[in-house]
Amino acid sequence: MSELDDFWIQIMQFVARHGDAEEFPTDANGQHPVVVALGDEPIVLLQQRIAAVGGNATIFVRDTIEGEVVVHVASAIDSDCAIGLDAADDLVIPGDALSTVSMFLNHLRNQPNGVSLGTQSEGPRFENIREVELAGA
Amino acid sequence: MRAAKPASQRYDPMRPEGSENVFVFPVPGDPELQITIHKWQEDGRLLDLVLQVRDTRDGTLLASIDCKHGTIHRHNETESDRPRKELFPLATQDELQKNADEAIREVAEYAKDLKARRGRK
Repeated sequence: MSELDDFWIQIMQFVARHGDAEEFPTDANGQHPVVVALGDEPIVLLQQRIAAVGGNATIFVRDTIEGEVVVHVASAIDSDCAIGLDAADDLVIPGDALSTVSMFLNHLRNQPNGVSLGTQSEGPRFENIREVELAGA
Repeated sequence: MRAAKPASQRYDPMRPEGSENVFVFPVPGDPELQITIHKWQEDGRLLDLVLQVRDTRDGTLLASIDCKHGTIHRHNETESDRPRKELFPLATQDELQKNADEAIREVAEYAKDLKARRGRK
C-alpha cells in the first residue's frame, strides 16, 4: 500500500467513526463523495479526483508542516451550484501547473470567502478549510 | 387501523431503521471503482455500517460487508459468494466501530487488488 492508500483507509475509518453528513457536500444522488490527497501531489491531480466524483466533495489532505503531520479538510462545491461565487477569490491554474495541493491550501487558508479553482475560468469552489486530528495520522 | 406500509418501507431485519447517510470514496488511481460507507443512525446513535465496493461504469456491486451482521458478499467470486456469518458475531454498539475499522481495511485491500488485476489486463 502506498502512502496515499494508507491515508485513504485512515480517512474511511475516520468518516465511519466521526463523519457527520451535515458537514459533507452532497452530490446529485444525495451521497457524500470524499476525496483524499497528499500535500506534495500536483493540484491538477486533486482537480481530476474531484471532477471524477461530479464536482462536489469533501477533501482530506495529509501534509507535513515543519516536520509535523497535519490533516486538513475542506469542501469543494461545483461551480454550477455554488452560491455567492462573486465573493470567492478566483484562481486559474493551467493544466500543466506544478503547484502542489499544499501550496493551494496555504492560499485557501488566507481567503475567508473561499477560492474558485479552475483550469480555465471556472471550477469548484473550495471553502471551510479546517484542521482535523486523526489518531496516528 | 393503520394502513400497511408500502413494501419499500417495511422492516427488513438486515436493514436497520433510522436514517442512512452514504459516503463515497473513489479508489485512488481508479475512480471508477468506489467504496461506499452506508452509515445508519438514529438519534445520533450508530445502528449499522455497511461497506460496498462498486464498479461505477455499469453499477455492478462487487463486494459488501455488513459490520453488524457480519455478512460478506464477494459478487465476482463464486467460492465466497455465499454470506459468511462467522466473521463477526452480531455486533453491539461498542463493537461496531471496531468491526468497521477491520472491514474497511479488508474492502480497501480487495479494491486495490481488483484495481491491480484490471491494470494487468
